[in-house]
Amino acid sequence: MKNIRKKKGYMLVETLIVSVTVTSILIYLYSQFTNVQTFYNEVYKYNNVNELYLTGTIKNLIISNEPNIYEKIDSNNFINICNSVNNCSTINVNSPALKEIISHYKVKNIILASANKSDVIKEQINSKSYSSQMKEFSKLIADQKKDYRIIVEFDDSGIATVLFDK
Amino acid sequence: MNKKGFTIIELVTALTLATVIMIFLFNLVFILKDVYMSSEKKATMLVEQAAISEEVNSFVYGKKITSVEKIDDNSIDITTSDGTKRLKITKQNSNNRIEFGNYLYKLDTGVNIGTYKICYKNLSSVDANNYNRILFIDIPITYKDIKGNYGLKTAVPLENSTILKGSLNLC
Repeated sequence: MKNIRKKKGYMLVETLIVSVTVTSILIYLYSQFTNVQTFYNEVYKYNNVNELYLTGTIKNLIISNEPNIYEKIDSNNFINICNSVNNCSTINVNSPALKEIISHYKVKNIILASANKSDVIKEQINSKSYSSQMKEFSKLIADQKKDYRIIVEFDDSGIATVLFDK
Repeated sequence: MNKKGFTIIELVTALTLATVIMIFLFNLVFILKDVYMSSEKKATMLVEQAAISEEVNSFVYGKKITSVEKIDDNSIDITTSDGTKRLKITKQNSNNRIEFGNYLYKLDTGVNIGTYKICYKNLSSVDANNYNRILFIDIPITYKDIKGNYGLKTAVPLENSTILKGSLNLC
């Protein structure tokens, strides 16, 4: 009788251990897999060729219309040309062409930053109300040998970044 | 008694666990199958998009556009210092294609060209570099089973000396 009782008690503990172990493994697998799947879906939106060229055009327009832009970037390491985060209806650059492009493609953010200050870019993006896509994108940014970086976020969650020198 | 076999509770527990694991694994397999099936098409579409975008953008990016001429509703000629190239869109059920100069992007079955826009906007004032108009080219391309736009979109600032011919549409 004593033996039988012991074995019955052991079965419950055994079941619990197995259940908890299996559940933990499944939760771990699921979270890992979800991360991979999300990244897979998001990464296609980064640095699309169309948006890279649009970002290049935006960069050219900013530089040609705002001669002091390099000094502004140098002194702040991070500036958003749009007057408010996620809303680019008004901008700090006097360029009718740039305004038309922003309006046509519903640009949300235009960030200019020092290319070798990736920690500042990440900190700024994560400390303000930028979109989750932008925050994810910022994780991929690393220091570069070029002088500056422009990051443009478009309305359809597409994000592109271009490096450039003075 | 114990040696005779499993108890009901053991069997029920084992079956429940096995069922949960099977459902989870099947779910993973189905998701992976979808990812595998769509990724090949998605990759092809992205490569094609990159190719046509590179063809058009490398021709106009940072260049002085001498003239833009509307040939008909489906085609325009763009002239830069590098010469003239024609952008032509053909929408037919089994023969959707985009041509730019000698480059031909022939769309596969199931790949559709949406409502495209080739138009320009006048600027409120003259920008630096004497830009006073912008040419927008937006050609959406979609595939039935994959989300997203795999088409061409570009904005080309035009100087006030750029000649517009053939009544190009205003956006």
